[in-house]
Amino acid sequence: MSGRARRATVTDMNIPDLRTAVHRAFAPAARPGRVGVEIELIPVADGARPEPARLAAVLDPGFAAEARPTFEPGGQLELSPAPRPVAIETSRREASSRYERDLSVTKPAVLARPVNQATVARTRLSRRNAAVLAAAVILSQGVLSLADAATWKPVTAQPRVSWTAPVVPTALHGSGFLANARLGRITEGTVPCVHAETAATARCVFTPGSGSWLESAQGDFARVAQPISLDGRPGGEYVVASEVSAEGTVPAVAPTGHDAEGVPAGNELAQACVVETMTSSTNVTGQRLVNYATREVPTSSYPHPDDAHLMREYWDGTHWIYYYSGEGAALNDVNGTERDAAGVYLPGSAHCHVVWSNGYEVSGAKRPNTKAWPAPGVVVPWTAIVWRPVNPDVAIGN
Amino acid sequence: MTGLSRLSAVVLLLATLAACDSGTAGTDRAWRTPPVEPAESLIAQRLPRTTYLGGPFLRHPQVVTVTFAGDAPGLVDRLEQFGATITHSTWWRAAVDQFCRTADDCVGDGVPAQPVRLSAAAPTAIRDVDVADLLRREAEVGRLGDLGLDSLLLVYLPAGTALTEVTVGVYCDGRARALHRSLLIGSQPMPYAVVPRCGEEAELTATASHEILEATTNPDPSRRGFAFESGGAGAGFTAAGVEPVDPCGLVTLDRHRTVADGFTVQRPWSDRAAAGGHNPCGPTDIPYLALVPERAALQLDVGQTANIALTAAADRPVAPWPVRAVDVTGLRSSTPCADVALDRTAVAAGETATLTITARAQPPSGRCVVGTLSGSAPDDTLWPLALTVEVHR
Repeated sequence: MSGRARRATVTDMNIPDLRTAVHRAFAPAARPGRVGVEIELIPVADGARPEPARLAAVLDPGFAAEARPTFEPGGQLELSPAPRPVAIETSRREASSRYERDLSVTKPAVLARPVNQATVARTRLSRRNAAVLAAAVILSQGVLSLADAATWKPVTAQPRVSWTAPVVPTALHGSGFLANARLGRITEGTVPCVHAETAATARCVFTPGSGSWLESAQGDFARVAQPISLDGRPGGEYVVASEVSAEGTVPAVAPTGHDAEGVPAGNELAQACVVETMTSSTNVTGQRLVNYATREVPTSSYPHPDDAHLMREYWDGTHWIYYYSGEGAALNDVNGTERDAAGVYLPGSAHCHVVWSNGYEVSGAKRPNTKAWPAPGVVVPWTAIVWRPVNPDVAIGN
Repeated sequence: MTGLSRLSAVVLLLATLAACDSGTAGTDRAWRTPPVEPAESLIAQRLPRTTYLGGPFLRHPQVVTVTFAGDAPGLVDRLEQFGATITHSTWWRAAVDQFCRTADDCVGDGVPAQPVRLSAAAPTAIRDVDVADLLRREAEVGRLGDLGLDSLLLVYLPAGTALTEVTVGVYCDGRARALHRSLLIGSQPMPYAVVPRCGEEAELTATASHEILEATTNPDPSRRGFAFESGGAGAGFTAAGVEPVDPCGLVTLDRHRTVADGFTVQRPWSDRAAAGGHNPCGPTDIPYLALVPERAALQLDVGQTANIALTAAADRPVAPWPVRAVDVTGLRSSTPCADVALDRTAVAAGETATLTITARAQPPSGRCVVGTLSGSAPDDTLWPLALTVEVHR
């Protein structure tokens, strides 16, 4: 796939989305445009992954001429029909009818089984510049077929969402325990932790002096996004993280309903947050970041991935540095949550961001790189604004 | 469909699947309410509304009143009567008017349940988690009766038993008066509420009405059902909580009680009244007066000052009314958050005023509530503003 366009984030297969994404990604055409669609098929077999050569051998020449099948380095079968004015619905229908027919050239009947959508989603093939429709090719005993349309499972790539699993605290030590604040389980004196820049995962020593933590019937937990060192000193290059369960949940402070006599209390954080893609400059929701940055954010990113307001630019002798501020300039919040211009957290899961790394989760930040020295850390201005773990030691944006 | 709305749809779908595990889906109501007729007034435009956030809710709540041995028999009788009747009172029908997931999937009348008088006396102090453990043990041996998908355990602690919880400390005496959560009995989520003895019958039933309504609409606070979205344009109103009665404690300065079928209850937030530009927490036979700020929230560094423009509005023609500014956080905590002043002492509908705010101290949560009171006590009402206080680094 080509990688010319910068921000196309088509994640679903319907015409309005595709049209919007294409218009956003490409300069307006002087004449009616066409849309090319690549269809990637994941060969699935009961045993080892099918060899491309075996798949190629069963393709009909007429089908091959129109669909232009090729094989990706990973073994995916890619169909690249010519661009056409009407995009995905036609192609999808073709994929589930004509391609099925054409691919089903061999006999006898095949063993069809539903596709595990989660597996397919994890095997996402490309995020850039094109809609990707993945389906399953059911291969059994050397026979290739798409079976029937019911076995087609498009990679809708709906934004992954991380939910909270409530933990009722019995004792609090420290601060920042807002309702739904995410937690890392303390096990044998260590907590999950993630390097704030590299996202390398580790277990950091956690002692009562390492930061804020709580006791519960389910065990002891530390508040996520606290800076910590591998040996448990506060303020290190790592941040406390959560371990993501098999169900995609992370422990969090259980919210409680109160009759509070109208006494103002703290914020209640989002119960679900979107899982952003590490080092990506785009957002999985397809929406712009709107966190209101009250500070200037220096970066090499130009134009800004979220169309933030450019305040000024500066040549340092080696790099151009661009300074952004205001709406969407950056996000580096310990709760991964965007704020409006009044500093109020924005409601809804789409404004709460986390990143995952090797099964660990930490608050997501969209920011340039930082370095630890001089303490407590500074922005590296000639780096791009992308999704990274939060770095609570450095004020970026707010 | 935008990415954002797709995400909302996914979250809603997932939560709706969870919702199917609680309550009786697809139930209809035994009564009909007229459609909401939104007004175009400034008040109607600026008051927040509750929304369905995808979590479970109870369709026909069955309030299981739980009391301890040794409690005052006459009071226990009244509390049991309250639990058996309040969820099909006229108050209840007005209170749940807005809580429909779909046209035929709403919160309806409750169903009476057998009360439980525990044979054991309560200890002198008990933690929230201990109450949950106690209920779990009693349920597992069958002493709480037949519990179903719409059951709600409502526990009244007797006099002399203090309720404690880590985020509140000891309940009563100016702190929170009750809590509700969800516990697991086997694999079945079960909402429960705990009402400590902060006062006499009126205090108890008022607080219990708050908990019954909020546990019905949000039986699992970790998966919100009908609630306000936290933050955003409603940040001031939701500063005391996002569940449907919480903002009224703030707006009325905790004077939102009324009487229903002989019991004292709290008036909850009414989306219908809000949509009509009326007092969302009060009787609509009293004029609703407000000083509506140009924005719902602001952020100041300690020592910084801001002026906020306000517009006076009322839901009917009225004479000029008194107004004053208030630091609600400071009023409640005795630690001032901000200096607040109004340039007017009385306003008429359509007039403007200016609220001057100077941030004085950052509270532990980083957020304060300030605002303006319109009208004369005890019917004056607060229009709150969320104030984020920063300590400039």
